[in-house]
Amino acid sequence: CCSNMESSGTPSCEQSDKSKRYDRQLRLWGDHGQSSLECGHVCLINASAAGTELLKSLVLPGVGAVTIVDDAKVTPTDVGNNFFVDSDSIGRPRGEVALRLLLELNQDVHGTFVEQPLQEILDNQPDFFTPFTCVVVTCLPECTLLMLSKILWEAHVPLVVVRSYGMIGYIRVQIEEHAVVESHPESEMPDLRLDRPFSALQKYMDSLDLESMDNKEHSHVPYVVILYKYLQLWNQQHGAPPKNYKERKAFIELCKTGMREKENNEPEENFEEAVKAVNTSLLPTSIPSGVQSILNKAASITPSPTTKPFWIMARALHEFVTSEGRGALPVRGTIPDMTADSEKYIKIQNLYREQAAQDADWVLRRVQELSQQLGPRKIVPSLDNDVRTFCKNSHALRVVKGKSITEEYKGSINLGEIGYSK
Amino acid sequence: VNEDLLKTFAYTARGELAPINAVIGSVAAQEVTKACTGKFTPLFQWLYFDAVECLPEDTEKLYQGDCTPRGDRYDAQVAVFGRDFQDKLGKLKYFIVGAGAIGCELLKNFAMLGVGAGEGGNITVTDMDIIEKSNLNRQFLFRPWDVKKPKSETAAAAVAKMNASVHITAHQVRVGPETEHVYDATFYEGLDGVANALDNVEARRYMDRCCWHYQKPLLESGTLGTNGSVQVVVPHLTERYTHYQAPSEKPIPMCTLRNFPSAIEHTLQWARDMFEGEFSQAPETAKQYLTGMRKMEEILKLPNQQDVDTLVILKSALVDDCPRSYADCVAWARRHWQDQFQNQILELLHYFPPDLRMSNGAPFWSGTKRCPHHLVFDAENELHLDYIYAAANLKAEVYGIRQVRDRLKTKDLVAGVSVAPYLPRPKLKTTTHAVSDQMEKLSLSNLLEVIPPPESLTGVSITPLTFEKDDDYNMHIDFIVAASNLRAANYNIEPADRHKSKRIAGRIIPAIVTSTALVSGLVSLEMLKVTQGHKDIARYKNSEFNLGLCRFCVVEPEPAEENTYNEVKWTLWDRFEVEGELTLEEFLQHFKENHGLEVTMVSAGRFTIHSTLIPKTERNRRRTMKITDILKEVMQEASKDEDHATADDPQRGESPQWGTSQQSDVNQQRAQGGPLLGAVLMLDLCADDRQGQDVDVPHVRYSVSR
Repeated sequence: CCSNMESSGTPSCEQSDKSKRYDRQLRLWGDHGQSSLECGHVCLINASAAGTELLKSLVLPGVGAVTIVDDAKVTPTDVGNNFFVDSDSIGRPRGEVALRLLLELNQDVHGTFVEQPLQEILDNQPDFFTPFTCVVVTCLPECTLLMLSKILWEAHVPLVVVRSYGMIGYIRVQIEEHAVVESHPESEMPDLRLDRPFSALQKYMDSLDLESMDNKEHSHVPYVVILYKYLQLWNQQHGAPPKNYKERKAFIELCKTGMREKENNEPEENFEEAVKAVNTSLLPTSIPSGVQSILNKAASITPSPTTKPFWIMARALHEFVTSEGRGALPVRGTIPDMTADSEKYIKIQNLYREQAAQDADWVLRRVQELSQQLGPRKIVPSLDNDVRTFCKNSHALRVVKGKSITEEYKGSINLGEIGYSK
Repeated sequence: VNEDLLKTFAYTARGELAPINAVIGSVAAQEVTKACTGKFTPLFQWLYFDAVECLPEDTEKLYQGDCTPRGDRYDAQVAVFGRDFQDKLGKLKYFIVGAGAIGCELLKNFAMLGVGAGEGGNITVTDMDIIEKSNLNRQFLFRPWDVKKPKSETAAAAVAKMNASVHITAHQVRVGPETEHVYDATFYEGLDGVANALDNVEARRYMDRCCWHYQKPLLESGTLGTNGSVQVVVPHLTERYTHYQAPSEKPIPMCTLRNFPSAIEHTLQWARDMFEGEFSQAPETAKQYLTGMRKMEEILKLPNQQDVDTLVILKSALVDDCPRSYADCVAWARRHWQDQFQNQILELLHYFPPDLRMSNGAPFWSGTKRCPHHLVFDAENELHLDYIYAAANLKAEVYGIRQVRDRLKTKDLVAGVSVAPYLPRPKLKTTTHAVSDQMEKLSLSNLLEVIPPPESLTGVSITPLTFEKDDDYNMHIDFIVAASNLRAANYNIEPADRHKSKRIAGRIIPAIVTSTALVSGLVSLEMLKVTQGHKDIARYKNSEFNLGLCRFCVVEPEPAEENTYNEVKWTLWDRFEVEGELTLEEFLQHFKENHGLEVTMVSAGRFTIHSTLIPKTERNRRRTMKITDILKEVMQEASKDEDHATADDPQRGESPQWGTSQQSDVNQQRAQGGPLLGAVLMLDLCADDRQGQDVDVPHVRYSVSR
């Protein structure tokens, strides 16, 4: 499908031409988003004014291909509302006229026009719609819409219904599921693994001794170290990390016992930071329930050539958690800023980064193995990056589930009344 | 069932409107884009949108109007609003400022609606830009073959094809004080409204000032990536245009840039500044000297150390680092690398060692002050070579030396360059300016000795570079990416790839057609309301949205703030209309008698006409003078005081007069020695009310009779 990604014969000046044209949007979705868009094939049913307005906004940024299905002829009202049809074309097939003018906007976009009535296609070639990345319909009677909705739902093709009446408009999006990797959660707890340090972290932490440090060094130990050290002490006394508010409060008191007084009688800033961080940094390392249910689903699927990359990665992630990760997700690899001497801070930062890279490597290898088992697949040039992004965000993965339009109608009205029988 | 609502729906549902299609179509297009790219969060199943507040305030009008179809292009619209309103749209005179992304979409919507398509109607569109390749992804009235043509004319021609009856005038005039002879009082007074389609805040503020002055509705909008906003400004109803500065627009402090970067934005800005210094400013200085535009005598008269600084730049550009071949350029690049990424870091650490403590015992390098480490050059390191390759080629371009776009060749050349080892400087110096230590020791006279006169430098030609982010072959961005990432390596900052670097360094605002189409649809809906003449502020809507997150925020505009003096209520839209010519005495008396105000000060822009602080004799002298005569005198006084006053100076920002065609040609007026006075003066007052309290009062619109 993605001829532009693999053909090495593309002259470089053309590529530069393209990157100039798309420059302002590449900044929004990057090369990856752009190449996905260029692989997209969108089908528009009915080239109404709203429909062409929509296609215009897809052709300009460079969608791969568009297909218009429309059996209407251009009327004077179309000319008034639809800036893509002109008065000379009254009486001509509307889809053909609109397509010609749309394609003028961007020569990279391929276009097809189908004049066959939709009903005929639905009755005789239900597979017609399966190759599309997305189908858009405007101005469709309910009964036909329901038939289309059912076919597309079963074919896992997203459907967007657009309608406008006078001063009112609506959009209905029908997608079975949408996986979000970079969900950018608003508040994020740091992933420090103090309750289950990986060996490199443990080794480094154990090499430090707070007691023997002089006052200056002591007051500039990163707070991660302080929390780690006092957690060790706490565990010796209690057998397990603090679990609730009361225990965390006691843990804070324990940390404070180690705080030294500075010459100017002020408390040590790093200890103060440690105390503040107790509530967010000492939470047990766990898998959020939403992510767990994604992993459970991934565990139950049998990867096939049609399995989406998200689920292949989720499958590999599941395997990581149950083996290499010993029940935990890959290390995220970023730590918060803290009062510290740069040497220790950078050292610790690197420990987390390296572990994150190692964990992601494991998942990447597994993704590659799974992909190979499914036979020859298209080479994904960004696979390495995709997997790293996936691992880094694994604590916030989300899958949004949708409902079909047919489902929505069930029980609410008599489907026979609108002529829907299937 | 709400009967009114049902009736309204029934009376309008047969219709169809371009702006509604623009709104719905663009949101849906973003959803399809999400389905194709997997980027952003999809809409959760449903979006409902209506703009019933566009309908007449008096719904009876809706039911009675003539809505019969005539088989013409406006039938679907007439079905909603009736034929009378269609005629009204046709007669509108609108000014669209900008024919870029928003401009194209607005023109399309206006043309579809039939704005300016009737007798007496007109759309004026202005944009001084020409079409660029990077416009084509969203400015849909332009085609590849239109690149380098003027935007406004091309857009106007495209609109004429969509609706031949629209009267459209295309200009290539930048709006601003310098073009008030084009967009003068006659022009504005004839308008029904203004729609901004601008890309900068300065011009937006200017248009807001014009619309406020002439009391015209203003439709304002903007986009940033998947975000967009729309503001409607209606005279005597809403507040004026407001701009909130985002935190990201704030500049980065100098010390962060020079010594303590902690984010990639800092290193990019540093790299961008270095580009400017090395390839634009220094060459410009050298060029001015070479071409005789700036003579040595002039340089030596520069104040504050600038003489020495300039000579240091000249010595570097014309003597020490003046390349004769590409190999020289590589050698320079290599030395520059050494200086920037090794020596300067070592020097910084020499004065601020990694274990340095401040007086309170805290380590110096802590928190956002990350302790840097120096780099050691390695030609095998791609990033190191990237820098040499880009820097050498840029240097070659500046000196008109043939570039060598060959990395391997560059790599061979760089292997042969030797660099001096780092020696700590004896004196504390925390700036990282590329001034070598020997140079600093040189006194002015030493410098003078080594800089040859321009005549003896005949073989040298210098062309300063102008930063251009969009040309991928000019290596400007390559240089900045390499320099920024090397510095990021110095400070253990995560590097940024080319795309990200370009976006940040070029301050490029990401833009897509969906957001543009959406704001333009929303703006067109506000235009319909303004044209209906809605009086209820709740019917107008300001919007803000993020299509990526499917967040839509629609709010009623803020009403214009109400003030009071002597129990008279007024807003920023009100003004005192005063017919001139009056003497100052008559002017003050006018306010006392008619408004109960004791005027304590009268000013026109920055010129004071009357103030109780002016000495009494002078005040009394002015009392019998005409207002404009006083102003003429004050302005002449002011211009005598300003040695370097330029012709457009009195026109800046707080310009007291608004142009009419007779007095508009500023330079001509000045040549004739004529005073810069318009037919209308905007005056500001300070005044006390009847109780003797200092109160805020409206501005004065003072017409000078002819």
